[in-house]
Amino acid sequence: MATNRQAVIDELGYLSTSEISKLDEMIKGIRVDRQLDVVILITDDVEGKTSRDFADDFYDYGGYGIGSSADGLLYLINMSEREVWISTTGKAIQLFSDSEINKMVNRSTALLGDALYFEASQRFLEDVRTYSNTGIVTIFNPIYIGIALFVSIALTIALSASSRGKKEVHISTYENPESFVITRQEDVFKYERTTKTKIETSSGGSSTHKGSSGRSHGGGGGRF
Amino acid sequence: MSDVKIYKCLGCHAPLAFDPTSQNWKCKYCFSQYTKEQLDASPLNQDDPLVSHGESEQGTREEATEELNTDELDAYHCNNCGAELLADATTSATFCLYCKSPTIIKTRFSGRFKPSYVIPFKIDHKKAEELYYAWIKKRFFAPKVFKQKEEIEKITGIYAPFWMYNSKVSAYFEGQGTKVKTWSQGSYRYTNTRFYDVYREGQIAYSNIPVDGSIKLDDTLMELIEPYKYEDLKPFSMQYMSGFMAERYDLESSEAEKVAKNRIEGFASARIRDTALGYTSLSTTRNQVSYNELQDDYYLMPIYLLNNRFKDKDHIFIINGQTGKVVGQTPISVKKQILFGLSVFIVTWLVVAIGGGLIG
Repeated sequence: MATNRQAVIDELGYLSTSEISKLDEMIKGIRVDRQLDVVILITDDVEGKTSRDFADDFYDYGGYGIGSSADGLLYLINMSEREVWISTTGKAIQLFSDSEINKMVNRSTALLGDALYFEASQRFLEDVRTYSNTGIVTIFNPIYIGIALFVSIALTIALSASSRGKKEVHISTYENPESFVITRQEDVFKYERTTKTKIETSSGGSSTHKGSSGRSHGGGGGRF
Repeated sequence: MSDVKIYKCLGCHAPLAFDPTSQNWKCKYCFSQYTKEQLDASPLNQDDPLVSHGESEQGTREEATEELNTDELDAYHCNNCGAELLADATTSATFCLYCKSPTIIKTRFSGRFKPSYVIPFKIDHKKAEELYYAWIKKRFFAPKVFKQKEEIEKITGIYAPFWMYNSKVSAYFEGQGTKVKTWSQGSYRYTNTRFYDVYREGQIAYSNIPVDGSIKLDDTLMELIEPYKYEDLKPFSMQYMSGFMAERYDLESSEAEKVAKNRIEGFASARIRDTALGYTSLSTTRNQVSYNELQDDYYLMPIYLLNNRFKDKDHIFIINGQTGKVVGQTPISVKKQILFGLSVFIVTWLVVAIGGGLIG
């Protein structure tokens, strides 16, 4: 699964060797614990593309991502435009909603504005770990526990109820066949009411777009 | 004329008992078998005119006198050996405590205690034991110790007293119904609700609604063994009682009628409400059932009764003596319930969590 693709690519030498290995360690942890790939890319040459397209393409053509849907994120510090961009792929799209991406971008621009490139990257990775927590620990998802509880209680009650014997008499058991005659049948329409509600376009609010590879990506960015 | 009656074998004069399997009368000693016609033909075994049903003979006048003569004896004695009979205030057919002869207490079948019809036993004692045993094995939460208990021989075949009701009713239903439609257009979801006033009226007739006429028999269990198949109803004859216990009613029809009315009203109001179809929701504003006719009658119907005492509590089981349906107060092991609930919980949780993880 893990090939020797670089997770931290610092083309401008803003990070020291120890900082890079620290970030590497954090990324390794996220890949194992959260099943998400993470790439940090610092560059000033985005080949004339927008930060968004460059980030998406780098991720797609660089073969990053875990699993069949290439789950993961890429953090681009684009020094030619002084722009940061977070690109999400696969399950990361849903895990990181537009509002969460926004918060992460805001934190980044604050730090990057002060040239704190290591701190910004570190904070980004911490946020990835935190915000993906709700998704991965699905085993303890209260919805699952609730379903299991409901099923076990319902089945126990059902089986206990049959301990006495089943009731076989229904409302027509003692009815004389063909004796039932309806003498009045009226359904009177009184009034009607129509209401309308707006439909939420996406659950969890993650907007997506398609990269040049044809794959969908989410994410967002900002200038610093 | 004796107050008690024992039906006797035409060959060896030993007592006869009704055999549910063959639907004939058998002699335990010489194994002779007799049909009802043969029994009726023998002067020894004819139904006394006192209690025969529907036929006009000089007996009817005697019957009238019998009805006025209401003194009951304190104890009844076997006319085979003179020993006392096993009987309480409502027992009308039983066995002699000493010689075990099946004995019928005639006076307890006369006058207002004369049943119109009876469903003779279809299931014999041995079959009843098998049915109980098979049923109790399937009770999932019954303690293992209870299932293994050997009390089965104490199953008693009893003809139980039932008040039967025929009725013609008018049912009225008035309510409010809604029909809801939803659809989407663009980025909006629309919900249209139409409100209706709903009226339904109808007439329904019911036959043979049974109500347990014995105070000591548990009403809930007696209702659960229903329904009986009325095709097997026979005009009442004491001959069918031979070999079984029988009880006469101690709950008067005026009381039993209240139970019957409750059942009828439940049936009729549900039936009329069910004719209001096609509504998303239907609430009742008013409903009423009125009686055009209500008649009572008195039948005996077969049950097997078993009291299985376990940990100082009585657990009653009743088997329908015609259909073989078993019902009863099975004890429930809380340990088994918890174990079962826990395992279902764990399995469901794992399945849902893994499934959710795969999909999500």
